[in-house]
This record gives sequence, C-alpha cells and structure tokens, in this order.
Amino acid sequence: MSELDSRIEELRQKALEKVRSDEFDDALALYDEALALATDEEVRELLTINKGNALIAAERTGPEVKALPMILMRRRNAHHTFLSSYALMYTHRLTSESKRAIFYGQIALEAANQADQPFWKLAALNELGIVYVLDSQFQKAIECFEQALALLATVDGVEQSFSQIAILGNLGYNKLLVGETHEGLRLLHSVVDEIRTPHAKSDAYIELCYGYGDLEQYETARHYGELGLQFASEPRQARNAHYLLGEAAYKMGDLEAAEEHFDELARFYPEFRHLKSLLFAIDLRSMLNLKL
Amino acid sequence: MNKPAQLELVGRKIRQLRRQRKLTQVELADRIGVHQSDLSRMEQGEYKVGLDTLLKILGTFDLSIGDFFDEGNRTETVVQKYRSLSPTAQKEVESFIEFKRAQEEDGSWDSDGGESEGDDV
Repeated sequence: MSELDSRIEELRQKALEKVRSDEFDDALALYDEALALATDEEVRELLTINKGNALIAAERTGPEVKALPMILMRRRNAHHTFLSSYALMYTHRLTSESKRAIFYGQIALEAANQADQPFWKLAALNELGIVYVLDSQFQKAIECFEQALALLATVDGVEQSFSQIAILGNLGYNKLLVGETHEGLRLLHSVVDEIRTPHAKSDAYIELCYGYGDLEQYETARHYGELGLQFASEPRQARNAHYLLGEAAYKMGDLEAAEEHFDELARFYPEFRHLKSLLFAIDLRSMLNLKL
Repeated sequence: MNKPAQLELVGRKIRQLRRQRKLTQVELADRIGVHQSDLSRMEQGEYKVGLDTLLKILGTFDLSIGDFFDEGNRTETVVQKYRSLSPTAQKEVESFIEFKRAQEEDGSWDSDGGESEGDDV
C-alpha cells in the first residue's frame, strides 16, 4: 500500500469512528479530504458509500446518497454491494418506505451470505427484521431475529451483550404481536433491566404493558405502562403509554384513571372532538404497531 | 369491561367512511401521510399502524361513536346518556349490564316475564 493509500485509509477509518460517535460534521469533512486525495475508482466508490452512510445516519441527504442505487447496480464487489444495499435499506426505513427497504435488505443479506461474512449477515438480519415489523410481516421478522440470535452465538468479537439485548427485545415484541404472549414477555423480561438508554427502556416497558394487557393482567400492565411513560423520550412513546394505560385502567374499571390518560392522549389531537368518547367505546389495540 | 376491537372491524369501517366521503385511497393516504398500499392493507385488516396514524385517520372523519358503530339513534342516545354520567354511575350501569348478561346466559332472565330478546343495548 502506497503512502497515499495509507493516508486515505487512515482518514476513512477516522471518519468511521466519528460516525460511530455521532460526530457527523467531522466525519463528513474527513471523507471529503479522503475523496480529494483518492484517484482509484474502487476506493472513491467505497468512500462515496461511506459518506452516503454518514449522511443518512445524520438524517441528511446529498449526492453521495443519491449515488448509492447506481453503485449498487454496478456491483463492483460483495463489500460495496453489501454496504450500498444496507445503506439504502436503512434510508428507506427512515422514510417509511418499507417495501423498498425490504428489497434492499434482501440484497444486503444475499451479499452477506455470498461473502460468508457473519457480521454483515448479523447486521442485515437485524435491520431486515426491523423493517418487516414496520411492514406488519411479523412472522418474517421473527425468522430474521431468530436467525440473527443463532448467528450471534457463533460469532466472536461482536459486542455480544448489546446486540443480543436489541435482538431479544425485538423478538419479544414480535412474539407478542403473533399471540405468543408468554414467550414474548419472557424475552422482554430477560433484557429489560440490561437496556441502557431511556428511549429503548421506554419502548420495552410499553411493550410489557401491551403484553400484560393481552393476558388481562391489568395491574401489572399499568405498572409497566407507568414506567414506559416515565422514560418516554418522544411523542410516540408518550402517546402509546397513555393509550395503553387508559385501556388497562378502563378494563380494571378505574374510569377516572382511564379518563386522565385518554385526556392526555386527546391533547395531541385537539381537532378530534370525539376522540375520548371513541376511546371509551372501542378497543384499538389490535390495530396498533407500537413501533410506528 | 369488554369493548369491540379488532383489526377487521376498524379496517372495514375506515374503508366505508372513506367511500362515503368519496375519497380515494391515494387521497386519504396523502392526507394522513401513509403509503396507499399500506392504507389498502389497513382497510383489509392486514396491516397494523402507529397510534398516531390511526387517530389521524379517525380524526379525518371526525368520527363519533354513533358513526363508528353505524347504529340507530336509540343506541347513540343511550351511549350519550351513559357518557354524561359520573364515573361511579357508569360503573353501576356496567354492573347492571353484566348482571343482565349473566341472567341471559343462564336462562333465568326469561322466567321473570316481561323481557324479550333483542332488548339488550
């Protein structure tokens, strides 16, 4: 490797580190510096994919993101195919285009299989599983998460606990959705205390609330719903928690508490005059995907 | 306290209301920010949505209980009266409904005379 090649790779590695620590502007500047030095087409393509990934992670767009489908079509090598398709899967997930996300996810998984790269496969399976959940294809999501867990057990060097917690949590929620409530709750309980971020904690607690609601154990459901509300860090979580808490309270006959939670939920929809009375009359739980 | 639930029921109701208001799936999907194919699956009871989306759809139709259940004025009036009661009084009404239901289930209601099938609210 020439001195120039080494310098470009060094810049790329630094940029990847910056992306991992969410320092996107620094990462983008490093990629630009590397791209200014690189003349080899294959290297430029890799840098373009990496920069596209950084832009997507920063929820921005740019010519590098737009170049990803063309790079994927070129299929220069398995690594670039995997990286570009994975990035496209992720970006389409963020824009709720689940069909396209699934399309690219399948390409990413295929590339990972062909290259026999367990890390790539693990990442593709987990992300594809998440996209299947968003698309209400729960059985397929379960298959992805179960395959990912089986693979995780055979791979050395991966940050085992973090990946395992995330995948088990995802699997647990899907089990609830397909009616395997006891198994879903068991899986969620196995990881909930290990979850570090308040955001992920809130989701897990709200899912436990949902599961115990299915079992008609409303007191327990309310306990976890309150925890979910306590850790809620985005409106989706607050809405889900208030709705499920209202439902559980209603089903316990605690109409005052139900009314309080439905009132809180109704604040999000001031123009919907009949919302509260409708919530008292119909059960929307079976319609809901808490991840959306 | 059971309430009618169910994916298909709500999905069918959304389709019915959309058609009544002469909206295409594309128009409604645009209005609430979902893809037309997802709305189609939702109407068929094959797609679970986020709470926000679901409430936006129901809010678009400014749906009331009477609209939802598509029932006559009598039921709506009864529901409205029920809603106007205090929580304690609502509990009493629910207990009474449960009591009447239990009577019906074990057949004892018929021996009192004076009640007929179809009276349940």
